[in-house]
Amino acid sequence: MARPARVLACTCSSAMLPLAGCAGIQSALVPKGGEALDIDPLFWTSAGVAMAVMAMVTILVAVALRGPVRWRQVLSREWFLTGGGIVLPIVVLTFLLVYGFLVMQAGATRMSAAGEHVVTVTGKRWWWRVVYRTPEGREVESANELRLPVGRKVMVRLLSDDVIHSFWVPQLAGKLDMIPGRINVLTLEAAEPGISRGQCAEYCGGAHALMAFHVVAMPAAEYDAWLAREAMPARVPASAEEERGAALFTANGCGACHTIAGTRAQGRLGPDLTHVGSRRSIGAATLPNDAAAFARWIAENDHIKPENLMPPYRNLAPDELRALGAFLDLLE
Amino acid sequence: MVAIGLGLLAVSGLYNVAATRPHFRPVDHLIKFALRRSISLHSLGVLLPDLTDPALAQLGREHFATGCAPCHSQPGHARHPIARGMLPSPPRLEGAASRWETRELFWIVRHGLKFTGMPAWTGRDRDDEVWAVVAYLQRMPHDDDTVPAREKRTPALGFGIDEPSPLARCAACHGDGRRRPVHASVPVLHGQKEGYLARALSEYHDGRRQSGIMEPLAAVLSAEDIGRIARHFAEADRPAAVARPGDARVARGRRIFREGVPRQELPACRSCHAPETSAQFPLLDGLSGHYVEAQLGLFRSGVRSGTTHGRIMSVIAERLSPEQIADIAAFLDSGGERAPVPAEARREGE
Ligand code: HEC
Ligand code: HEC
Ligand code: HEC
Ligand code: HEC
Ligand SMILES: [Cu+2]
Repeated sequence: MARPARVLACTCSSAMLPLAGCAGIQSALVPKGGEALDIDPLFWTSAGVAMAVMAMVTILVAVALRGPVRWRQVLSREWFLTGGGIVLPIVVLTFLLVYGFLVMQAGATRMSAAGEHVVTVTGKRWWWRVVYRTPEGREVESANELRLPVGRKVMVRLLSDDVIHSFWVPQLAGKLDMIPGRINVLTLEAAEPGISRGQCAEYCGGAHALMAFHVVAMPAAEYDAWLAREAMPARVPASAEEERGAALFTANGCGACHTIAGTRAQGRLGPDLTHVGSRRSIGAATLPNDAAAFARWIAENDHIKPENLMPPYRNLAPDELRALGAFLDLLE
Repeated sequence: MVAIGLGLLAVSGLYNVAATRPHFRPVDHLIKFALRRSISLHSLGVLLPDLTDPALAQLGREHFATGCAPCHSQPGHARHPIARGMLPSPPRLEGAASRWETRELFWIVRHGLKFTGMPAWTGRDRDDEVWAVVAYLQRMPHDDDTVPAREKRTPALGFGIDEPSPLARCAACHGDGRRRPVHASVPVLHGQKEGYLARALSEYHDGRRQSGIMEPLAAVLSAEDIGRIARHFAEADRPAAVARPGDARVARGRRIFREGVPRQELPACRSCHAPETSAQFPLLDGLSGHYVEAQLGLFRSGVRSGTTHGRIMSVIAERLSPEQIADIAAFLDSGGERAPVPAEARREGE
């Protein structure tokens, strides 16, 4: 490739790079519900106005420098300066401000409307504890994934046990910090079924970059059925392989940190594994969720997610890891 | 001029390196002088711990009997003729404590002496173990001159175990189940899980777990020996706990052991260290507080985190504060959970 062509190609492709980030399940530009849908027109309006102002100023500068004498004379008139330099900005900015206030106000009314559907998300280093409250007032614990009923307003209480994290699902809402000793409340409402992704947006140490989660929006009826299943104790192992996995789980002290409802494992230092097999990912959206990934995670988690707080179990033989993987995969 | 002279001497090959020909007197003096100066200077930073505990010297004596006596001999024994043929030949050490400062003795035993045949301590990062031997050197009794030389035995030249059964040697330090170990830095083995004991011995054998005391002993054991010894100890009963009045420390330690400290991401020790968990996860009940503190220190400093199992424990040990370590040590020292463990439970689940 000739040199100028190559430079051009490079410039173009690096200019496209940021655009690639605009699509996908973690993009604020593809809103899927609630606050994000409200914010979306606000963003495009402000962006549009900004572009228009930019274009206008560029043209005026060009005219002022190179334009015909008559035009330049017009530009230097007193009325033109007052109009373009003071009146126009006041009008445009006031419009944007009022519009912004209106949009934000909408958030406040939505919050008061969401009362009965409550989910508490606690930021941990470096994963998310997610506790649903069922309509009967029971608490159901899960982790690293948030399920939402489409069309219902859900009140998400944001807490932290350790350091400041920030909860951000760009397709659904703006970001909100999780601050130790405080409860911040965010209202989410998914407009359509689908999967989007959230990410911790406040540096919280070691594995911060790998602290993400999926948000699964599902039709309300399906959601209710799912929540009822989620509230049940874990499935019991059926095959010999799964039995062996369950025994290894106890023998290796996994229960020191993990809970599997219905068993003796009642640890609270790591994610609840009662229904881990039904989630989309493990390690806070770091690995896919299947038997092979479980095995990899157990033995190599310190390489997969450096500095995370689970010890690596390289003492386990490949067949033991397979058995554990089969057991965890069963926990749907 | 001097340099050229020495160079010529080296090239010519005239200087005799035979162990049968002692150095020329001036050369000998020069070497000894340089050696003393070097030891004196390099041992300057050494901090002395408390060496008054007679049990510490007793542990040192037990190590000395297999780790040092082959070269240096020991009180009541003659020097081995082969060791006598070395140059310099390893001196008897009865008077070593009067020839050297305590810090110098530590430094010699820890680092060894170049060009003399005096070896360095086997456990590279285990300075803590060296003091037992130093404590013994300080108290080494003078040789009994009333026994005629021809009635004295010489220690075997092999390092490690010279008794007919390795188990007799083990009992000298680890106790026999009723007698406690010779010193608090030696763990109880009786009633420990079989899988763990076998793995600990193979890790010493292969040099994956550091200990200047245990590595040489385990090095001479065969895989069958290791299996047999591990079974022997696992089948024995754990020695009765020395009842100590429970104080606040013990209560705090028990709490950590049973419940952990969630705020610090610290899991309950009991969820791994219990009879029903993996045979590779040791029981901690009845280990001395001294041993527990020392081992947790080794996990934390990385000395014992190189192995797969050591890595798991290091992750947890790093979360403990010195205060908490002292609490847990006090709890385990006072007997720990002390639930009687049936022998079968210890052997299952390897
Ligand atoms: C010292 C506490 C501790 C122990 C012991 C422990 N884990 Fe974990 N585990 C954690 C923590 C903390 C995480 C979260 C890691 C992260 O994503 O940052 C985790 C994550 C996991 C996950 C991923 C869960 C998810 O939804 O992302 C699985 C699966 C898992 N552990 C299985 C096991 C198994 C199997 C064992 C025993 C062999 C075990 N753990 C032992 C603390 C522990
Ligand atoms: C392989 C034989 C060998 C072994 C094993 C050995 N040493 Fe030595 N050691 C020597 C020799 C040779 C010297 C003589 C150095 C000299 O004279 O310069 C020496 C010197 C010493 C000295 C200085 C003696 C003095 O007064 O000059 C001390 C102290 C000592 N050894 C302690 C020990 C201890 C303790 C052990 C066991 C942990 C041990 N040695 C094991 C060979 C050995
Ligand atoms: C000279 C004293 C001494 C003798 C003799 C001795 N040991 Fe040890 N042993 C120790 C010391 C000290 C430790 C602690 C080492 C450490 O810090 O790693 C230990 C540790 C061990 C351990 C690790 C236990 C644990 O809980 O991790 C095993 C297993 C062991 N010894 C087995 C044996 C056997 C088997 C024999 C006999 C062949 C034996 N020992 C002879 C001093 C001795
Ligand atoms: C997730 C499982 C797990 C938990 C929880 C755990 N440990 Fe361990 N621990 C181990 C393993 C595995 C080893 C064996 C390490 C080796 O062989 O190098 C070990 C070894 C030890 C040893 C050395 C024992 C010996 O005989 O040398 C001590 C002491 C110890 N742990 C203390 C603790 C304390 C105190 C706690 C609670 C704060 C704790 N452990 C919690 C897994 C665990
Ligand atoms: Cu973060």
